[in-house]
Order: sequence, then C-alpha cells, then structure tokens
Amino acid sequence: MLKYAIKRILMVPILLLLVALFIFILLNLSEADPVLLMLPQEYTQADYDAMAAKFGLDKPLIVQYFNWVVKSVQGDMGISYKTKGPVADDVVFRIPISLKLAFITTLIMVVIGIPLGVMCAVKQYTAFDSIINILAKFMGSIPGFWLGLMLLIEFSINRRWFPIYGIGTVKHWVLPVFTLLLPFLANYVRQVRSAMLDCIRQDYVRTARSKGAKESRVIFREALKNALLPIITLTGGIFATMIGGAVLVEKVFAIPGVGFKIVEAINTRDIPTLLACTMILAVFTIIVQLVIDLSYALVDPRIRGTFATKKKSRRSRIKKVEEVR
Amino acid sequence: MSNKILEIKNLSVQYTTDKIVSHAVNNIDLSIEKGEVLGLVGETGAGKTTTALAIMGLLPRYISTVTGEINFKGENLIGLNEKKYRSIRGSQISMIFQDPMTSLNPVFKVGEQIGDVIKFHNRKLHSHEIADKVDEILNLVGIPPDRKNEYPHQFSGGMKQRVMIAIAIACNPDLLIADEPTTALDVTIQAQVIKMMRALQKDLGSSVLLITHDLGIVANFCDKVAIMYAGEIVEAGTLEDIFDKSRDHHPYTVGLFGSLPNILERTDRLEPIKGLTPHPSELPEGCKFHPRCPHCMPICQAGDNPAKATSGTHVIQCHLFNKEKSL
Ligand SMILES: Nc1ncnc2c1ncn2[C@@H]1O[C@H](COP(=O)(O)OP(=O)(O)OP(=O)(O)O)[C@@H](O)[C@H]1O
Ligand code: SF4
Ligand SMILES: [Mg+2]
Repeated sequence: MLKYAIKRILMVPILLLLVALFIFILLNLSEADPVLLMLPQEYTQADYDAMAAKFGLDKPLIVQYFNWVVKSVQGDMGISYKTKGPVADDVVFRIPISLKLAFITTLIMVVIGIPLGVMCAVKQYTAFDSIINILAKFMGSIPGFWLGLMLLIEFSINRRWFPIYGIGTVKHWVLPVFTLLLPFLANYVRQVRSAMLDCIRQDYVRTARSKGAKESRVIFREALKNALLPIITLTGGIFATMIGGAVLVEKVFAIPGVGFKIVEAINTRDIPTLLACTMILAVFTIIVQLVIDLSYALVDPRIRGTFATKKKSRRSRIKKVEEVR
Repeated sequence: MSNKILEIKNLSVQYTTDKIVSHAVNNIDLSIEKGEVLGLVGETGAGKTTTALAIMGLLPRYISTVTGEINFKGENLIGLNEKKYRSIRGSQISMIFQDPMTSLNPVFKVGEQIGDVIKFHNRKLHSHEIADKVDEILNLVGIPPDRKNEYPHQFSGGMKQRVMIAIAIACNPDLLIADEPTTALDVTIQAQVIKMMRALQKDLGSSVLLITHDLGIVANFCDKVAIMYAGEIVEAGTLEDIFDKSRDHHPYTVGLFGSLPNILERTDRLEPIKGLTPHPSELPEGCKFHPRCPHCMPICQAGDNPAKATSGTHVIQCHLFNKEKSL
C-alpha cells in the first residue's frame, strides 16, 4: 500500500510537466501574436523586438517552455500581458477562495447527497423514491446562472437577508454555495442512488441477509462499502470541476475566484495568466485524482491486492525456507 | 412420528414485474425429516431457487407474493416477524448459494465474513472466541486458517464455495439449503466439494435441501428426491422410488433420466426432452408438461392438475397412473 502510494506520488511532477507542455503548446498555437496585442497602434520594429524580448517571446517555443517551467517552480509565473504586473499577484490570492467555495459545496453535497441517495435506493418502488427522483430532475434542470440571479434579487436586494457581493463573512457564502450546490446535488443524489442500487442487487447482499444480518447493517456496511468506489470517483470529479468551473456563480456574486479569471484571461488573450490558472487547475485535478486512487486502494482489496500479494508471497517463501530448515 | 424439521404445504410464489405475473412455484408440498437429505431436481426455471428463498424469507420484497405454509420445527415461517426470522436465518436455517464467485463480499476479509454470522447469533462471544471458532470451521472445510485474513479475490472458485459452506455451517443449522452448490465449479472440484459436504452433513447431523440438476449427485448424496417442473413437484419419493427403473415414473422424470449420458451404450447424441420449459407467466392448462409429453392424452390438456397418485412413499402427479389406480 505504502509502495503504491509513493509510486503514485512520484508520478505527480512528471504528469504536471507533461500537462504543462501540452497546455503551453496549445495556447501558443493560436494565430494572434501576443506582442502585437500589447503594442500601441504605431510601433517600430525596435519597439516590437524590445517587447518580444521583455516577455521572452523572441526565443523558440521549447526554450520558452523550459524558462517558464524553471521560473514557475520558483513561484514566478511570468508577467501578465494585460496588467503588465506579475501573474502571481493576480492569481495566487484566488486559489484559497475557489478552493473554499468548492470544498464547502462538495462537503454539503456529500453530507446530504449520500444519505438521500442511499434512502432512495433502499426505498426503490416507493413514493419516497419517486418524489426525490422527480425533484432531483427538476432541480437539475434549473440553470445555475438564473437561479443565482433570482436568489440575489429576492434575498439580497429585496429582503436584504444576505450581502449582495463579497466574501467576508459566513453570510456572504450562503447564496453562492447554494446556487453552486443545487444542480450538482440533484445529479449526485441520482448517481448515488444508482450506484447503491447496483450493489443492493448483488448476491453478496443476499448472502449477508441469509446470515441473519440486520437490514441497516446490510445496507450501510455490506452494500455501501462497495458503492463507495463509484461514489468516490464521482465526488472527486465534481470537486475538481467546481474549483475552476464555478465561473457563473463567481460572476453573479462577484467572487474573485480562479474560474472567473480564466474567462477574463481568455477574452484578453492574456496567455501567461491563462497558463497560470490552467496549471493551478491541473495541479488540483491531479491531486484529487491521486486522492481518489489512494482511497480506492483503501476501500478495494483487489486494487491493493497486486501489491500485497507480491509482498506476501515473498514473506511466505521466507517462511517456507525457514520451515525447511 | 413427527420428526419433521421442515414441512411445506401448498406453497405458491408469484413474481409480479411490470404487471406480468409469473407463477414460479405452484402448490408444492415437501417435507424433510431430521438428518435427512432431500434432493430437489429440475430444469432451469423450474422454481427451485424460488422455493429455497421462500424458506429463507429472502424473496425480493414488493414484487413477490407467497401463500401456503412453511413449517419449520412446527412453526409457520410465512408471515413471521422480521426480527424472529433474522434470528433463524444463518443459525437454524442457512443457505449456500448457486454462484460462489459473486456470493462473497469482495471488500471484506474471508475470516470476517465467517465470523459475522457467529457474531450475529452469539452476541456475548468475545472477539477472540469468535476468531477461534472461525479457525475451527475453516479447518473443517479444508482451508488453512491462516488464510482467513485474505479477501475473496485471492481464493479459487472451489475455495470460495468452501468459505460459503463454512458460513452456512458456522452455527450448526438444523436445515442447510444448498442451491446448486457445485454447478459453477470444475468437475474435479465438484466431486471434492460434494464429498466434503457429505462428510460434514454426517458429522453435524443437519437436514439438507439439496438443489441440483445433477442426478449423479442426487444418487450419491440424497435420501429422498423431489422432481420439480414448472413450479410443481411432479414426482417425489425415496431414492429407490425414483431411481428404480422398474417402477412407475412421471414422463418428465423418464425424460430427465433419458437425457443423461449412458456410459454403457455409446451414443453420439444425448436425448434431451423435446421442447422448452414454459415461462411461468404463460403456464399451459391441465398438466403443465403436456406440450412436451410423449404420452399426452386429451384429459391432460385441460382442466386442473392431474391428481396425485400415491403408493407408499412414492408420489406421482400424472393422469397415466391415476387412471390405472382408479380402474
Ligand atoms: N426476481 C424475480 N423477478 C421475476 N421473476 C423471477 C425472479 N426470480 C425468478 N423469477 C422467475 O421465476 C422462475 C423460477 O426461477 P428460479 O430462479 O426459482 O428457477 P431455478 O429452478 O432456480 O432455475 P435455475 O436452475 O436456473 O437456477 C423463472 O422463470 C424466473 O424467470
Ligand atoms: S398428465 Fe398427461 S401430459 Fe401430464 S405427464 Fe402425465 S401423461 Fe403426460
Ligand atoms: Mg436457481
């Protein structure tokens, strides 16, 4: 298990370098010449060269990539084409904000979604299941942007229960989290339900019942532990999506998150900023994937198995040798 | 006289899915005495597993209806409250399922899965007492106890079925239901498992309901046999009643024996019964076997089931014998 974890962790930097190379090339393939974008209408060749040199754009792409990697590792993510200031200043402070939004929302989603999904699966064919199912379909189809605006108008502007924008207090987070949560939660409940249904139908659940296990134990121990595998993947995926994908919510509630910045950087062709944001997302996606894989191995002995058996067989061989002596 | 562990009277089970009603088990009677092995034989879809699940009280909720009586040690299990049923399941009646590959939970250790059933029914036992008991049972089924910390995927099919057997016998049940315990296994392993089950059954003195397609296993293992077709028991009796070719037999039983390969006469083809088992949602009128029966008579094609002809321990549900006897 430990060996597996270490192996997986060692792969992270390599993955990141590859992802960075890919994004770097992709972004620089665009036809627009960033140097031109930054120069005034009237410019001389000398101006052009100077600007290109300032941003390192006169060097071959692979050298640019290399320089960028070396600097990034040191925390220098380059100069923004737009603000002309360091990218890091404009991006780093956004990370905890986006993380916080994604984390709180995911946490609430899990706490509500898993019990609800499990209940639906257990009560399949009953009114409870049908009602939740219809409700989830309905919630899932409300556009987040519209929902956010409506909530904002009703509860912040008309009733003044919550602040209109900003991120200072708990109250600031209520509406954004709710807006982000609802569509994800609706989908989540349905997926948990179907993962759980798959497991409830399995033969080993029948075996557990045939042993005289209590129904609660059958559901929450025997079935849910198996259903956790797809649920972990799903949860991790949603969390990773939320970090960079909460653009609309960030926009409606004026939350300075990463997603918002990405859209802005795309619109202004601010490649260094875009690169920095994308890399941040990549880092978190890879970390989330790592956590998913490790928890998979924790839950499922078959995945752990490949490593365990190797170790075990060596141990038992040693034991056999000792017995022979 | 009543040494009966299990006495099933007039048991019927229907499944209702999407408004289609399947009559999976129809008015069957069965009884098993203490220490006796009853073989329940029939083609796929005959309703064997359904009968077993009805005894266990594990038929799928919402979609199944059960009527009749299942008397276990004098108490009717149908309608028994769930708590009481739970205390019987796994301790007094236990079941070995058809497919060992999927019947063990992949994410729990094998020893834990055996220990659970002991724990459920002996709340006061300490964990080390349970662990000792698990070791003992693993030894009984021929698995080295030091493998108890492994997971099901590390076991072969035969080993998994041994684990299932270990779970089933862990609490010394009065009745053990074995649903085709060897169909999913290799032939050589089948023999081992059956041999072991027989030895265990002798030692523990449990009664066994053995469900199988395999007449060879029946001949080796069972005291009594019931032949099931389309949810009915068409013939039942002692091993001799059924296997003695000189006696009367239901045409379906004759067909079943006919479809066994004969070692003495070398033929290239088996002689399976012509036609297919009817689907339980569209059972034929009269004798359920009549569309496939070589002796079908007009009387067989309509009306109620043929009456049962009984001679001693031997019961046959077929007009052929009724007529003879009534004449
Ligand atoms: N959960 C269910 N829902 C609906 N119909 C079912 C269900 N389980 C079984 N049946 C039907 O009941 C009939 C009897 O099934 P059962 O599993 O008891 O047969 P079996 O004799 O055990 O067959 P096999 O030898 O294949 O195990 C079948 O026709 C099957 O289609
Ligand atoms: S009752 Fe008639 S159809 Fe049915 S098995 Fe007997 S002879 Fe055949
Ligand atoms: Mg079956």
